[in-house]
Amino acid sequence: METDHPPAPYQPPDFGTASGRFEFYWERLKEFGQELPTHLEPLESTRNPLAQKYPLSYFTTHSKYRSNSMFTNVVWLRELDPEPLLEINPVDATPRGIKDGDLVRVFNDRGEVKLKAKLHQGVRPGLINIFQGWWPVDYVEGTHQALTHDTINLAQQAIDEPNSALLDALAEVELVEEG
Amino acid sequence: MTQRYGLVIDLERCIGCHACTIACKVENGMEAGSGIRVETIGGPHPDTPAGVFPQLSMHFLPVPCMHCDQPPCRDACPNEAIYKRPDGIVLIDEEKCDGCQACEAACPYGALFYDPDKDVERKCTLCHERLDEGFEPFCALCCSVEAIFWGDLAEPDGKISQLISQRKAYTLKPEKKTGPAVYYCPPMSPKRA
Repeated sequence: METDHPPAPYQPPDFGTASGRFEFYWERLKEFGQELPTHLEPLESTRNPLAQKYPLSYFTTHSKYRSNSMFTNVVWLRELDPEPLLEINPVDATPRGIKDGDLVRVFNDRGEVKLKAKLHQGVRPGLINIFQGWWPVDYVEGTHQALTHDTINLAQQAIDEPNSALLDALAEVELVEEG
Repeated sequence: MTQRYGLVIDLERCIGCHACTIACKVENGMEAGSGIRVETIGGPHPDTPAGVFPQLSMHFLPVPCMHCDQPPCRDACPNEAIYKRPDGIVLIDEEKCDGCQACEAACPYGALFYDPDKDVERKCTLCHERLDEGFEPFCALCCSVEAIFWGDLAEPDGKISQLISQRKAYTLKPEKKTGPAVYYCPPMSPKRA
């Protein structure tokens, strides 16, 4: 079929780079030590001394029930997914006296959120998760983003794509009230 | 030859997205999960796996009405409100149903739900009104991963009969001797815990 549409979005050599090619190696990012894709230790990894105070890696992963915070207020979907829950492995929950359905407080130096706990073998020990996209009004108190930070990755900023790592946070959990 | 309408649900394909549940709600206007619900084959809660980390397994199980050969709900109804069409579809006559919920207790699959607004029992109808107009059940149409197949079990060469033999599909709770018209293709991998 004839079409005016190009067969590929980038017709080489038209990447807008000095070489005209896609550049895996980029000298412009040398000052960040990222001229090649490289592993960087998370700002708040469990090897950080902060982990002695806040030993759990705090994740806010995507939910199948919404798209970010969109559709969170759709009543029909809320029938399937009524409230935010802290997913925590029994290995971490039991020593803290936390059982299924207990009200817990998740916190670090930046903030806190209160919600019910859901014991979950699919969450690895040392990690806790709250599905992102819930609205502050959905929580008993606080919000999941109160614990995250918006530290910009400078290498990303240098190429005009600033972003922050919302999965890069340490936190601790405590029992508030038995469910 | 007499028709015998049924479903084949492929558990290898199902990703537990609940689109069938919402589709059913759109078409039939019931509380989410009344017509078809998605259970998790795994841990104690929805969306949790069986086993202990990292040895885990999880699959999803969409459960509609089984449209049984011998429906225990029909036999339990004191008002003869539940009947089978010649094509095998089990339906509730809402004129005769007085909302006593005896059928709910009799169903081994939890497929019936009380509707307090209308004071009647409701369940999956296999979208019989759509079938009568030449369309497939709405859950099968809306399944985002093509895991739900509708067809005629009485056609030995038909699509769903082929799937049943090729994939060694099984029915739920065969020991109840209800003769379900809903078959499940087992997940191929990973092996169940």
